[in-house]
Amino acid sequence: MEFARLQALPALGVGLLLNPDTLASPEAERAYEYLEIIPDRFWLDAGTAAHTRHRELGPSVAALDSLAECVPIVCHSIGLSIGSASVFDTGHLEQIARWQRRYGFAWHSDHLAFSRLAEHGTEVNAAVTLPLTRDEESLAMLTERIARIQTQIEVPFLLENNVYFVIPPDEPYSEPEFLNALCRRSGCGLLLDLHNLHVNATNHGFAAEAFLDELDLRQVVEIHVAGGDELAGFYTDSHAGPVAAAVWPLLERTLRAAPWVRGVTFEYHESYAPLLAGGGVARELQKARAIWERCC
Amino acid sequence: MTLAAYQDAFARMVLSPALCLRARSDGEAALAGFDLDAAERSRLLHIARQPGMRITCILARANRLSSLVGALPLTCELLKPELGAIIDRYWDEKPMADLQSLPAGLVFAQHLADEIAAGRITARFAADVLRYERARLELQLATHVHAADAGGGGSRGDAVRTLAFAFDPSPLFEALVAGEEAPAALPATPTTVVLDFRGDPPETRFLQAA
Repeated sequence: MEFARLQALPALGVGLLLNPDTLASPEAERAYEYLEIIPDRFWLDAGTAAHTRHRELGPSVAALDSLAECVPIVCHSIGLSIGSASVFDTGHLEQIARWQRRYGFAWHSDHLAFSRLAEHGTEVNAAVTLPLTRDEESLAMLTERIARIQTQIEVPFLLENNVYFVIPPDEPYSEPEFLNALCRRSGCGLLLDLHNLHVNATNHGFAAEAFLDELDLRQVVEIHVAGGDELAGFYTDSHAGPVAAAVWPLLERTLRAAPWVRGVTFEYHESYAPLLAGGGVARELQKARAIWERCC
Repeated sequence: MTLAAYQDAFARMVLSPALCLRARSDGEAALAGFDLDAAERSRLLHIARQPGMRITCILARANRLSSLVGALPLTCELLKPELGAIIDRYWDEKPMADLQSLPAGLVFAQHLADEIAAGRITARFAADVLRYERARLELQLATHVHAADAGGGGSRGDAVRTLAFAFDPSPLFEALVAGEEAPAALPATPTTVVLDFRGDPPETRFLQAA
């Protein structure tokens, strides 16, 4: 990432990942300074072979249009599957580019993982984001693809560090080494999901602080904070209600060291909204805001 | 040998716990159908043996299932005793590409209709409940969706649908919403169900002959 390009990005402050529950939480409206959307939730995608591929969900888009008049919107897609060797979906990027022009996202992001597979003209979705092998082959593929993304969409592109429950053996790069190399070679930025880091540190027994020490924090443009819960003996990234307690000190540590962070986004899944009843969303946003003000 | 083949085998183990278990028990033989080199086979066998593979498979199944149950909740409730087997057959035949509830639900609804017609699903009221929920999905598609690639626009389409039942289905739907079994008997009153998606929220009316 060219750091001068990051410096030029607007500092948006503390934001909220938009979900269907957000619209029903008016107390939260006063606490966020921007909204992040998962654009894929606003349209139906008939697939790469379809003549009319993307069809928008009218009521949801109308609500988004209203919100976009009041607050900045940034884009966090789940549909690219940038790590899929058999799929590179330029049609998806065209749709993201259309929405970037429409809503003026300051940046857009997706996940560093793969989930889509194409075989003999048909596509399958693994229904989870799976980890890439951290090696030269993956780096080369990602670097070439990110170059194409940056040609197609003008604003900076960020990749999010992913949750993984299995680790391919004998990888030549550690995760921070791989992220550093990827950003340096490709020019992309990082969406550092501190809860994903906490999930991986918990399940795989490493220190999140050591990970942050190894990571080049100058690449970090956006940070995610969230909560999770346990399932089948693992701690998962379920976005279950409030931010996990262990994530707050990681946020403070990161914001003190990362010079170009432009936004901290709180994510929760709408199915866990009861855990945030009575102003819980606003409380989490205010906690993040207090740390932002102390550190930025 | 390609990265694509390695990813394909990895994802197939996630989508098919049976394949993952075979990889654990049978080793390389379980991956013979994939164009892998020795290093990739070794890497995948190592992955298959990791405890985290179980939770990965659980999450993949839950994510796929939730999009189908979200689209057809009453049908899935009615079929609950046999839903696991139905879903496994479905995914064997039609691995899911789209996890969004509306399109995924419509494809699954067609599959269920075919299974009912073929006599492979025989649960009482299955055809009736499916007909009702499928009509709701089709109305949702007709009224809430418009082409984005063409720059927006589009019409509301057909926003009202009537469904004729030889009985009053409302006690059946209420039981399923409450997570209860279907009633043993339903009022034998011919009933027309009107699904009206012109407003927000949509309305459902149950009309019985006077």
